[in-house]
Amino acid sequence: MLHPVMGVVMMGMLLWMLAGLACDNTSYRMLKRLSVAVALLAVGIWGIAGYWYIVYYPAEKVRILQGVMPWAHRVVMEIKEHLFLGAAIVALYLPVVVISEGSRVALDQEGKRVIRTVAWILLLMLFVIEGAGAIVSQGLKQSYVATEHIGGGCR
Amino acid sequence: MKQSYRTSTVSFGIAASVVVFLSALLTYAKERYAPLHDLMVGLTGHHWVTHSLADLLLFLLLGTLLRKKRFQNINPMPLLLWGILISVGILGVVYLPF
Repeated sequence: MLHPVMGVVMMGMLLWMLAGLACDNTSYRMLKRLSVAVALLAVGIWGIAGYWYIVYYPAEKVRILQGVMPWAHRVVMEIKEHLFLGAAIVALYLPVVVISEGSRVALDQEGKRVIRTVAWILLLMLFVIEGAGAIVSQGLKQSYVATEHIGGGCR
Repeated sequence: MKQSYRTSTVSFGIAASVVVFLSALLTYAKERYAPLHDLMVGLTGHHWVTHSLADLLLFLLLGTLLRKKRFQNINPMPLLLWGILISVGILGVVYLPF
């Protein structure tokens, strides 16, 4: 559960950044702190989710593949695990942009536009990844439900 | 109006675009070519760990190397968007036929 929650926290921080960028007197310090926090969360998720994926997911994969939603692994999880790599790179890029363009944030719209674009890209990728995670979880849950039904229902 | 971006914005933006695209290509290659998959497993014990490390190292290396050149007039955002869109397309090609 930890890594999806961290993903949602990342999304919240990105929305916070986007709200801040919409203001006339955007706080560069706030943007910098949020962007660094987003990058650190991405690295944390990379480690935690990676550990889960390597140690615990193989058993879950077997269940999903034997269940009623095998595509939850074959398509959704496979895409998710590789799309995440792209999202992590974009998350690491975000503080680079903020720090690099930082002095211009208060001065002109161009610096804000670049940061806003990266934040939106990352937010959309995370949205897809979170949704994919929900589908994979459902695939695992349905495999248990199907097993109970085959076994004779409620006991 | 000529746009000018900071060196790191451009260098790491190009690096991110290239890495996202190459990462999807590597996914395609390892799924289609078992010896590559086995090699990646052999390097760290799991193909995804090797893939992750490759992406991270390439991003840092490329972003740093490209800072040597001045690309201030290049807007990296379209490259990044296209890199992501193409990589999503490649992932779809790899996994949707199943």
